[in-house]
Amino acid sequence: MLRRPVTDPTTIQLPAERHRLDNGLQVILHRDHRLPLVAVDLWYHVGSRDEQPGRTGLAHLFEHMLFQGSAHVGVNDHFRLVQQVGGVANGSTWYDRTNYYETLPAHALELGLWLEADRMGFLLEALTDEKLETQRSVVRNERRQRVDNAPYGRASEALFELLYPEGHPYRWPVIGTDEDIQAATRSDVEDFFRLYYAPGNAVLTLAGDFEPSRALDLAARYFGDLRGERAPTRPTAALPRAAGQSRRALQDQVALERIYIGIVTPPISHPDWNVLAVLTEALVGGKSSPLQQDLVHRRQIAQDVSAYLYPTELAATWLLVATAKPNGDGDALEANLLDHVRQLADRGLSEDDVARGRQRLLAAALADFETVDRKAELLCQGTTYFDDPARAVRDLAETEAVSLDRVRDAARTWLEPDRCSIVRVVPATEPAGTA
Amino acid sequence: VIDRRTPPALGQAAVSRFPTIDRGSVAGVELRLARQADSPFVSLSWVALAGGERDPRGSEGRATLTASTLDEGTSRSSSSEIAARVERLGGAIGSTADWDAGYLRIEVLARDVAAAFELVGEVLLDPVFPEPEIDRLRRQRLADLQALRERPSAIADVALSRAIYGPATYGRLLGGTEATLSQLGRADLQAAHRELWLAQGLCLVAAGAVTREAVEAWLEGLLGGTKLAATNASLPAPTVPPPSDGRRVILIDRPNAAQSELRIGHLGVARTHPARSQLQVLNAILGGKFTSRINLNLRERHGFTYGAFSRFTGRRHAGPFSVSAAVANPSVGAAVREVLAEMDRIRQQPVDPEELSDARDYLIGVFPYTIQTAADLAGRLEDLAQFGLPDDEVDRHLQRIATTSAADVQAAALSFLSPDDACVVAVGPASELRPQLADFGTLTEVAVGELFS
Repeated sequence: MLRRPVTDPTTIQLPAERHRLDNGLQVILHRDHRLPLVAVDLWYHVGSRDEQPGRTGLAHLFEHMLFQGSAHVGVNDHFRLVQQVGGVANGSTWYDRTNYYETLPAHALELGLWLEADRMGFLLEALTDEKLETQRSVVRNERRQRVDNAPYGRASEALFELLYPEGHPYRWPVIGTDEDIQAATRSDVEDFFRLYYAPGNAVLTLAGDFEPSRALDLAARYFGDLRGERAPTRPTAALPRAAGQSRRALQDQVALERIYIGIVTPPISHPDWNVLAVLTEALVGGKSSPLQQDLVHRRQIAQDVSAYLYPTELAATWLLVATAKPNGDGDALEANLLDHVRQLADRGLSEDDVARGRQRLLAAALADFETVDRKAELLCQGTTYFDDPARAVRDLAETEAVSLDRVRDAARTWLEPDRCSIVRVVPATEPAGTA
Repeated sequence: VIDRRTPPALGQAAVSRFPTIDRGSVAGVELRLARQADSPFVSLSWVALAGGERDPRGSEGRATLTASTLDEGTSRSSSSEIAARVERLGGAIGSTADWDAGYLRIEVLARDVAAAFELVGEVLLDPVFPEPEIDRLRRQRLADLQALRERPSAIADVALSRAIYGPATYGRLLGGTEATLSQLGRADLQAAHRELWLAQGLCLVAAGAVTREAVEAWLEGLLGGTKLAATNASLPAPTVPPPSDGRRVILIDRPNAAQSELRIGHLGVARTHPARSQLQVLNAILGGKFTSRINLNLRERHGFTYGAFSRFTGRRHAGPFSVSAAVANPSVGAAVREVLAEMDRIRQQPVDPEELSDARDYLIGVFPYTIQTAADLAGRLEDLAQFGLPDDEVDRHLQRIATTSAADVQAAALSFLSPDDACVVAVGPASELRPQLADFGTLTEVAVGELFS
């Protein structure tokens, strides 16, 4: 089949100005006039991987505290001020980073900068025990909603304990354990802020409808006099390589068995990451992909099948997930999944499948470039992880160049079925819940 | 040194309007198009008045099964060939149905629009509903039904609909049950396609880098010889839910659940109700945004939940009003009390002027953010098309929001919120919840199995 490039990749750009204030804060500016909007995205290079065992979940609990007001912003005022101009705001915590963002009507850019600067500079003045207690309760409910009271909710925690050895910073879940969320103290929160929430550990991206010189002036005005310590050296870890297969069965109150197959692959900075991304999309992306066709359509032994490649800095988890049919044969489904993984290395995928995988990733990237909030996120990610705001554009070119041979080589190198970790969530014989 | 004590003064907000909608009509099919010349994408969507509201009693699931089988084979292309034709271009095709309509959607890169035209034309006009694909999708749905019975949030949603609507249309399962699906056959789906999809009321919605001229030229070639069925002239009348007779509590036992799913709701209003804009302001203040009364109360004041939200679901006939939250087991009774009190308070007292302007400004100001992509625009056009709303409806809706007063909000609350007639649904450990819920109304315990059959 003819390869058709999405468009000429050299015409896809994400042009951005890059500045660094004296206090180390990086400021990335990208103009987009199509709508009167501006995205303000602030990434701190700290995440759950910087936590200590016994204090897991602290980065995420801390993220909640950043919405509880600062010296000049009242307790519910962050959301109130953003929403009253028609903005949206949120934050998210991940293994490697934490971010805070607002997408605002363009005329409210200065409001976003004022809000973000206030909590970067003056959070602790407004921190109280009462606020911490309330958010601890909110976060424990968030964990129950996402993990403990969700079907299959505990599967990925079990899988990551198989994939990552004791002491590896990806071993524990981003949201933390319920025990650790309860144990976090106010001084833990204060220390976390002092250590990590410094201008030199952050990237501020503005994307949207603004005049860059004015935006830079405003950023300098609100952030320029903030000071902070240099962030501590971050924990790193060698890429874990499993000696053999490992597995665990979990009983859960579910109707259909689900199988999780995971393997540790190299980090997002590794040249094979984009290759594995194409492989993943080629394998299960879309109804016409080989795994959907074989397991869901032809044999009909899976209710659904999906795969993920984590965009993480120390190692990238590759995950293949399939749900069995009612009273289905979980052993057969697992064997089929592993056989497909084996075939990636043996016979490889077809040229059509790899071309489809590339094309779907390129179209997804173009869709990302359609919204100012997503562009701001990509610029932050590129700068934070790669010291390269336009990394997303380079990823497009690399994706476009991924060949059939490279996909097979990456599968041979990284996706060895004999080194997989497998978690099977099976319907509980008794309604067991989490007790 | 700068003064950080007060938020910066802001300039004037730009006025945003919905893009101009191009209209056309070809062979009885109404076209609505929002051109976004610089988009890399084109979104096309056939909208047919073929929603679940038209499923005959006992044939629930016909609309969704028809829609999901529509793109599973034509006389020229198999299911996998259809998918492959669009997926190798980086595009996607899919068809689905809700209560009000059926939708056949495709999104492709702008340069592939010719392929999209060809494919969605073929799929709309020439589906063959292959038996093996019907069987497969029916089995998928039956397995989904089993999975839903173990998903607390899904159980709560179904229980609330059942409590509000009883045997009326919206109280049934849109996707059907084991009993109704087992007797739906290929002939039923073919008839639904012939009578409801290729029928008057069919609309085409287009957004992105495409012109009206191009779409019309294609439609003329495609539909030149097609005669649309007339059966859509009369849409089904609403099936009326039983009158409410005081507050009711429905409890569904999940003995070891780590948390409870809570829903509080009652009958709401139709999508096209004249008070819809005022209701959106009311709902924003009550439970429709992060800084709403219900979320600040349950989450930020009490820490009962990760989040609590309310909504008036818009459908052709009166959809539900509902409040949703996942709540810590010991706090369920207290959470119910707070929600009912908030519903009552917004009826009894006018909202504060600042709360009102915050809500209005939020709803108006957030609008451009919600129409950034071709798919966003296509979604808006689908809504207008299926309810026959005028092209300027979005702008008029925003204007009505801007002029909604505190008295309007209170009047809407008095007319459309009924805390004393609400249904309270909780899915969690019954032994722990029963004593907490006893005071709120007649308590009925329902088995999960009853809800999904």
